[in-house]
Amino acid sequence: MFKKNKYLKAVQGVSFDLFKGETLGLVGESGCGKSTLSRALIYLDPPTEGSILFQGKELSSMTSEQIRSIRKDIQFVFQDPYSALHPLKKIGQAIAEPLQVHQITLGSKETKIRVLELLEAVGLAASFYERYPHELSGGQRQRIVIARALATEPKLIICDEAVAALDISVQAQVLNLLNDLKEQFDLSYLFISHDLNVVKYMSDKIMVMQNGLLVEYGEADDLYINPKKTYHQITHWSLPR
Amino acid sequence: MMSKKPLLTLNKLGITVGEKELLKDISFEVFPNEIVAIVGESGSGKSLTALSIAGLLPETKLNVTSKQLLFNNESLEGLSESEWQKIRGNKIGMIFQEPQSSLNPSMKCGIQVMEMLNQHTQDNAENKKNKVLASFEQVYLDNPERIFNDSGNKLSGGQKQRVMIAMALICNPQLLIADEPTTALDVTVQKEIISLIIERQKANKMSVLFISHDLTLVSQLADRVLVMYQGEIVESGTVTEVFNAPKEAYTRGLLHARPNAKIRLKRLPTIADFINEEKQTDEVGENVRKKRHEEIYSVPPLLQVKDLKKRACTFCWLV
Repeated sequence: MFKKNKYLKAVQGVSFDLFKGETLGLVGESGCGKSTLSRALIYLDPPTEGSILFQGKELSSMTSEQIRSIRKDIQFVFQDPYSALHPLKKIGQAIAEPLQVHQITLGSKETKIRVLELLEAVGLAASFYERYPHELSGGQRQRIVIARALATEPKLIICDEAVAALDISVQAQVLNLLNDLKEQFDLSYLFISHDLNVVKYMSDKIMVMQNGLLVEYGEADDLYINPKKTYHQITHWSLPR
Repeated sequence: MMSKKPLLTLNKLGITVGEKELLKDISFEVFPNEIVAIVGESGSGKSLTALSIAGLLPETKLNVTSKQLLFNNESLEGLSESEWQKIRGNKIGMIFQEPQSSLNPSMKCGIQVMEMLNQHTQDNAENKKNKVLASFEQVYLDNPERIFNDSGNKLSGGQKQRVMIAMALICNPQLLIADEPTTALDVTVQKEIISLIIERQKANKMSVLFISHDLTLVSQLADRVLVMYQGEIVESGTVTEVFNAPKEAYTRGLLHARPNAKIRLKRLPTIADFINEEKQTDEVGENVRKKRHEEIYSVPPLLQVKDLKKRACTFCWLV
């Protein structure tokens, strides 16, 4: 029962480069290894083989201290803003949390100023500081989650289905916000989504993943014009829009 | 295809809570053998409308100001809970967004579906079981016998939704209310579930009230569309009418807020833009994009991933 062949590779040999200022799209069905890949990138789930270099430095040779600082540089925004926020914590506390976790030492006064800056950056009024998550709409919560991700001044944000749970009109607002923030804070994104129109709009390059392998990797517009692999037959480039 | 007598008539439904009007003057009809879709954002009152048709509103908290609900020309007004139970599941079937929370995770799926038959028919146990297995086959669940004995937590999202559809249809309802039935599912699975609903609709000649925020989906399956905005029906018509020539700014906004694969706009238009008639037409030119790419890709990468492998095992959940 526990023989070797019972193991399957969730990610089987993936190579790519992500550049400063780039939005790299990642699409694929659920179970294809997208989330496993993104967890491996910050060593939440260390990879079994292969190498990851962040700013030219190999992650596997780093001390746990250094890995922690990598996690400051790579932040996540997940699909579900409802479960990403502690229901009993005020918004201000939630955004300040990563500042405390990563010991970015600030006095309580500066922390508050920093949090208010972040609220402003994501287009929310200062009054949200004292509110609780349940008082907010889905779109507002996702803005809070984004503000929190920005708190540590990351270089890369992994957006894992970040707009999937949002309404169409709110989706557009949050996508516009992500693009604004990218420019304002010199960010790069790894943008994971199953919605090909959204990925194409956001991305410079796109990777298509299937069964743990990259089946396509190329410039977003080129890929849209000349898809080569079977994946597109399964998914929806072809649907009438 | 529409016969003259509507299967369901909802007349001037209004719901308030405190000062706030949640639904205003909602009136529409669903004819036999017809798919009617309600589209709109969350909070527009779609689900509230559906729940009130199914008699599932907690009327103690909400104040229903006026309501006339006819099903097969019979009023569903003032029915007791036990009378509702005879209609729900039997004449009106329902499926919801999250099959995860609709199925009991620790109970055999077959037994859960059989509960419907226990409630609405007087068959013997063997016949009932056969009916359940046949219903599983109709929704293309592989190995019905196994699914029958599996508890809910062993199934995938798509399988669970298939079980929910089997459950909703097992008593051959005249009306199926499908409230965002594919929103929580994967794209590929979504497609399968939609074609399944269409197939069962044709086979059973039932009516479907399909609630969704996904306009593409709606355009592919519905006969008529109702667009809801802030508790009101702002526009209604056949799919072609509403999608090809939307009258309301709100409907136009809904149609265009999603990124278009052909044009790359600098900013995505939001529904507010359409309502205020502010057009977002600035495109990102091909050359601008090319130049930016040359800049981005001329420096060493921020993150380099080489031949990354990650093993997962089928028993990971044991660890």
